[in-house]
Amino acid sequence: MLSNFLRKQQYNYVRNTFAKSAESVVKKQLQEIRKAGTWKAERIINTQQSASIGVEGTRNKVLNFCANNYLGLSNSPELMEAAKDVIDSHGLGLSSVRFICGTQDIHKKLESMIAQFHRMDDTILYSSCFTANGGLFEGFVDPVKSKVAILSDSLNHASIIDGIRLNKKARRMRYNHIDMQDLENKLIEAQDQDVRIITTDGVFSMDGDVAPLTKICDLADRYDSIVMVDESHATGFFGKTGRGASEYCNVLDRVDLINSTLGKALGGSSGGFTTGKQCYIDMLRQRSRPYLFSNTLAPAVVGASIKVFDILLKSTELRDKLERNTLYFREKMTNAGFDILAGEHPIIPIMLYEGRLANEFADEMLKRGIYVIGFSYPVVPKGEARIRVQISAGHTKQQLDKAIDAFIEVGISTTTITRLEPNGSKKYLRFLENSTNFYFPVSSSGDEAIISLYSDTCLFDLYFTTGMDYPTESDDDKLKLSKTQKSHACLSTISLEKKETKNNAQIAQLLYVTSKTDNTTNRLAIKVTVQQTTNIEKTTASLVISVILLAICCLITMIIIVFLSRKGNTDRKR
Amino acid sequence: MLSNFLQKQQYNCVRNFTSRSAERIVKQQLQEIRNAGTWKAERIINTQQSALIGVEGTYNKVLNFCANNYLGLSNSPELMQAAKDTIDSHGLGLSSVRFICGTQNIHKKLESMIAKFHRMEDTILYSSCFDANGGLFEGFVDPVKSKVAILSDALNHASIIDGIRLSGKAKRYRYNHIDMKDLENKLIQAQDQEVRIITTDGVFSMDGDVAPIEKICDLAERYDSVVMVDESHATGFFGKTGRGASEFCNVLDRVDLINSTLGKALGGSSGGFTVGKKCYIDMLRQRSRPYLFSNTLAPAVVGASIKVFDILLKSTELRDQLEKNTLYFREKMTKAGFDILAGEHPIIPIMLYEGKLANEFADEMLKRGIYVIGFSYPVVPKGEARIRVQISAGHTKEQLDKAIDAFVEVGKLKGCLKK
Repeated sequence: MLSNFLRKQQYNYVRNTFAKSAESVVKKQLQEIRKAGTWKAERIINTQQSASIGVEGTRNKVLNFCANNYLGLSNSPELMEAAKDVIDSHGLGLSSVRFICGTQDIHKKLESMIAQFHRMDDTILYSSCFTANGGLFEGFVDPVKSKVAILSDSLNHASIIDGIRLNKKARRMRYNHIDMQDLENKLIEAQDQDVRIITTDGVFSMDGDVAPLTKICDLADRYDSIVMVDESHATGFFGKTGRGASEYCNVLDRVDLINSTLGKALGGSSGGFTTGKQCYIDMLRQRSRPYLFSNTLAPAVVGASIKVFDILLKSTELRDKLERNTLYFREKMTNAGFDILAGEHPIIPIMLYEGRLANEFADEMLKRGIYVIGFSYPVVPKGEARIRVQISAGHTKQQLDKAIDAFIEVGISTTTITRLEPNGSKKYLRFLENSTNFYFPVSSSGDEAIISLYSDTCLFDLYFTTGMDYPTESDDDKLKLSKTQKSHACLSTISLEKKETKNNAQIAQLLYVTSKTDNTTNRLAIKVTVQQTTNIEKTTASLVISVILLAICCLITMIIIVFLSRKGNTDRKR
Repeated sequence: MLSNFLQKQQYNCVRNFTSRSAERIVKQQLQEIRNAGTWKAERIINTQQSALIGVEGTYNKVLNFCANNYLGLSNSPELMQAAKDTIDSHGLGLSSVRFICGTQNIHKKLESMIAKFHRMEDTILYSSCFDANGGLFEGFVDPVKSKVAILSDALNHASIIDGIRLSGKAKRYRYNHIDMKDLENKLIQAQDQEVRIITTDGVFSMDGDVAPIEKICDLAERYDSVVMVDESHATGFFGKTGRGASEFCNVLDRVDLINSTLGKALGGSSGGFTVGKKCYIDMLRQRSRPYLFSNTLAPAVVGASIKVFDILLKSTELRDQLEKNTLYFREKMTKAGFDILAGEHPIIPIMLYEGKLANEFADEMLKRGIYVIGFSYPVVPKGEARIRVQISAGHTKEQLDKAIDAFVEVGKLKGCLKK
């Protein structure tokens, strides 16, 4: 035992001494991640996954708004019972790949139910949709024997990107996000290949936007291409009967392959699949590497999933509830003044633009019992940080209201949310409450401001002044822009045109809002978009005028020259 | 409804008409696979996984000798109960990646038990070892910022090969199967890189041979390289206390990273992991793509796996039983005159060399109630077809004898025996 101990010390010493290159490189890169502020920490949950969860470090339960638990099935008693029953009947695991001894009757049953649900011929199961995407592109057609082109949306999921990378011989083309013109151009380029596959997320996970599948199918028909849609954020709850973005776009019968997951809305334990035409699925069974070299799906997961599809094939109740919750939340948050990317999907990005703000906002939300996550660069582009809210059918109206109130409350305690728009204009969003006078630097000379006000609780007056100092009661420059009003509809937009000052000096303009209340609480959100147009217009205008003047001068000069030369000729003739 | 029906017919017509390139090509390639005789058909099992299973199409139950169910735990009542209890306490699923809201206390507990079992610092869980291998090489060191070389055995598992292919800018070397001289040469060549990783299966799944991990570690220390071992066919049952090929070769403390699966000996439901030094695992948590972009492990699997490691940390009884079974079977089959690749592992390749023979032999075995599979080209090299037998701790002596008798009977029938 002593010799073992000494040997272990010796080897640890040896390993520590010799492996230090890799270790020091890794440690250095870890430090860089921390410094960049992109470190991901894990919170530990000590309850089942649900609308309301227990998180270690917080005393009370919190409301979960960042799970893919769209139908609230992750702790469904019915599914849990089904899983346990199948453990009893079919065992814990199969310890085998599918084609050796890893196929039970329940696997075939689940495959046929999924195919039936999607109106396809057959299905192939995987341990996750990540794996399904990983196995599809290389397995679909032998790239050694046939020339394959894969056309992929630039914002597709990481698993699709990895799946495409595994097909080295295929021609890989990326088209701009939902840009159909770019896709068409790439399809034309790819006509020299034997097979073309267009692949897209049905719903994109960061923005909740839906791919234009109708147009994609049109292009695919015109240019002889397969369409593959990843419906991970859609299967079970999006579309009229929950059959995904393909159904939502009315092209369920035109899409060739659908990849999706059992690990989000459909129970959330694990599992993924590819469903499509019989010959495609047959091919994947023969060639897809994860299918051939990785363990089959566990009986418990299969059993629970069979139950899920039973439920989905019978009723759209859960999906309808989710739709109602989604509409409610979107409407309330938009009316409260938040910047939300428009859409109908339960993924709702609350735009905060700046990374650190997004993280701090999420922390404040947690203090108020709402569990959300801030997403910033590099997960989303720089300057587009957000809190991504995911609604569930399991959320009650009270829980949604609690979240909305918390968002507004944190919004009020936050400094101005700022966004630099691509066209150079600036957008500011500020939440106020309780008779706040808020002073807001609008612009320098020549800018234009569009102001939107959101409130359903209070009266407000809006003033605009010129000058560097904050206005006083007797300030003659104070210009009252709007009548005192109360807006139940929660939205007023006022367009403000800047007036040139007499001496053309660059002076800061202040906008301020004062709210009065006849209630105990009042809330107001103000959005200001400041656009600098005049300078650019002036420059353009002056440039155009200069060019015209120059042209006129040239014309006059030419006329004079022609006239003079003709006169000279005439004189000579005489 | 009529218009919907007509529209569907129209679209089916349109789709069939215009997609026919891909469909035609796929159908043609399917036919080629059938013609080549490499078509894989699935048999449907209608019982739990066990030493004795029911297969659709056969009247009686058959003895299963081709599962990775090395410790016989795939239908262990104890593990099944643990899985069910965890479903009750922790729910069916988490519908989330780990770092958002996919980490429960049981995940951290399992990770710490696996680390403890392997005498490492920390563990990261995946949905399978296939994913663990897929996520390791790109996640380990940022290949854009540092120059990385990956040296991989020629016969490594498909998942390692795929993982390396995903590693982007890393420089890739392949060394001949367990050829230490070739590995050394490649290590010397790779000295201009900042980080080197040698990666090998601990036990190779087709031959059951063990990697010379001790020599690999020697070379790794001499040439400043990290050693990663895939112990999928070893964790839980190989080595003196079932700690894998690294333990078998006495280098458990010199290996830097171990990837392995919960989907073979350790219950067989699903799951995989990477275990190693804390800084390496921390890095994988920040960068490994399957970890960041794929669902967390289901509570039922975690609960059952915690139970497994409980069992393994307490006793080597199952592992000892497997070893006894293995030695017995190997001895008897060798005596009977079969060509068996030498070794100590429960993977026992019965060499038949010719592909068609291997398949016919397997069919004859099934008629005698023994379920085995023939492996031929391209899974194994041409001319090296075999039946790969996998022994389980769940096999009784009678069952082993029955298999051996059947092998001998069919061997005589086909004229394969050495005598």
